[in-house]
Amino acid sequence: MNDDVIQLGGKKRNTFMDKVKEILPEGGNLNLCLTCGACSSGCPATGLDGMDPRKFLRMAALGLDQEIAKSDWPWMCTMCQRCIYVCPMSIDIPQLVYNARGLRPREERPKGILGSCDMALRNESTSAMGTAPDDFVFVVEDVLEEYQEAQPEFADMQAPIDKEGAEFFLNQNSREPVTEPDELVPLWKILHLAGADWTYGSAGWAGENYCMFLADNDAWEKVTRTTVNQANKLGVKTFLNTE
Amino acid sequence: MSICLTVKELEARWEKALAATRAAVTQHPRTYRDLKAQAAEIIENPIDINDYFPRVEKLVDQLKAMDPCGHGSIFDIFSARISPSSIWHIKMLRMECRDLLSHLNAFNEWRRRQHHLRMVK
Repeated sequence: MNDDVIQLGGKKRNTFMDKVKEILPEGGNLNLCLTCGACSSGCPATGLDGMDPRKFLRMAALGLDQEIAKSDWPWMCTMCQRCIYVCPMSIDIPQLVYNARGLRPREERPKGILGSCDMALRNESTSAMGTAPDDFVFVVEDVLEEYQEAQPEFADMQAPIDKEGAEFFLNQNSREPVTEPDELVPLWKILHLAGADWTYGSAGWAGENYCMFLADNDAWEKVTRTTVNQANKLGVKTFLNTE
Repeated sequence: MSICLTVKELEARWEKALAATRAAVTQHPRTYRDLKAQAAEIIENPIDINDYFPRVEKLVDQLKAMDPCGHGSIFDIFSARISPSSIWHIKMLRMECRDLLSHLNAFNEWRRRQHHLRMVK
């Protein structure tokens, strides 16, 4: 005989139903979703993993929290926000997707995003490719020197790092300095010709933030704060986000 | 599909769907009961993969029988939703059936409000 006690739980705690209700506008009726489907029609992730935003929202409304947690679809959503744009009730489905990502234990989240976030936490660069501040400074100076010599019309062009009191603080996706350094230059040229007073930071220069996509709030904040602190330390007036 | 719908338009559609659903239920009470039983069975019991198409076919036939001319009732909307070509994934059948019953519950509540009926337990 099996002596295990069968425990009957109380009322099922429904995280997602509560979340759905929170993001419904006053008087919003979830049954109205049935006749619209505008979110699914414009979603680039519709049909992937057998899911679309309408189904995702309906699953949340029906309290299918476990199924939502198991589904890979929230990781396929690009959070482009087209669904909010077309929804007559302005339901914030990407916010639900973000919460759904947070349901998984951190170590079970997709390895690519997880690894990129962890890499960004390794040093002050906040680079998802793990590039150290010294390497970034070296690449910028090296490429700048090369272009100043090769193109005399840009001999005066600058690519400052940690310039105090500059007008603009510019960030930069890590891919360019690491794999395609020449791609850094076009923006430098535009800023040079526009006469902009700008600077990179040796800390927080990397613009990508995979910790946001990982739904890791603390790490997301840490990466963003590193950049903001560097910009504030330099007394820069405007932050130019290139991502 | 129009993406310029307003909440007011959606509410009007929902009201129209409820009225069309009431007409269908009044006309086909037996099919309505069978349909609900069929959806509940799909939710509660495992289905062999070989039974998937016959089950869905039966369900879609019942939905179409409820609203054969496509008057925009809940049955009409779900007959398109549940058809294998739009369900994306077999695993979604159970969710769609649950959603169908959830909408029929909303319909029943609306109908009770219309008639000022009270549920006596």
